[in-house]
Amino acid sequence: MSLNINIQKIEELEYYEITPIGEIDIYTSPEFKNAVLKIIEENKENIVINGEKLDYMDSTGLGVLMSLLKKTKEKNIEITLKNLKPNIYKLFDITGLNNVFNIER
Amino acid sequence: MFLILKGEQMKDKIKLVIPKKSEYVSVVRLTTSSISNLNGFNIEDIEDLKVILSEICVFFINSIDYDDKCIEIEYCIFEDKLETTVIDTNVGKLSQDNKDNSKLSMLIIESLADKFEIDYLNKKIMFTKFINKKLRSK
Repeated sequence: MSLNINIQKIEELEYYEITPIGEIDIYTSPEFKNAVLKIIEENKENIVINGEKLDYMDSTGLGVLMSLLKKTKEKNIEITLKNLKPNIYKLFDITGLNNVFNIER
Repeated sequence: MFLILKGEQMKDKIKLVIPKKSEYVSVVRLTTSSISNLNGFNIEDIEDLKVILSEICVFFINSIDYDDKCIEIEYCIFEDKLETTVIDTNVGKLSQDNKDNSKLSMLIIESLADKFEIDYLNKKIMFTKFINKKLRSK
């Protein structure tokens, strides 16, 4: 399975909602990173990553999210993760990254 | 070292050989899912097995240079467990430094596998996952 990325600007609340569809792994994570970095660099709005259609993520995907978090902090914008599936939240729990990211459950 | 104790009968052995390329890691996940489903693992353990195998492949891809050789995965299926061995056949070397540089992968693998071992010299990782461990321990 590959990765599709749905990007939507929520005008009234002034944030970008990014919905990855499929898997973020060692093969697809560069594509995901580039897509989100482009939004961070070209805009000032906060970012929400909606995990409702994300089936799988590996440590490479976690690493990408950490680098995106660093980038958003530099630009003083917020990044939030929501609707993560249990198998993906489990990785955040194991690695302690659930205490680093703002995760809406 | 992983020993087969007296009385433990291996049911089946399956070998998967993939090019050491990131696009084929999803093939490992699909194969692992199918093998573990056929042999009685519950859904949570199937997800764990997919993650463990995937992270081992990520570890080898990031740690040892690619020179056209493959990654070999051997699934040994027992009544109560799955023992899996992953070997990187590329010529590069593997050391403790590689493990230290892959902290996220290692943390995930060590958390999800019931037994886990790295043979640096032979570029081999072995792990065991017991079938429905929670049910059997009740």
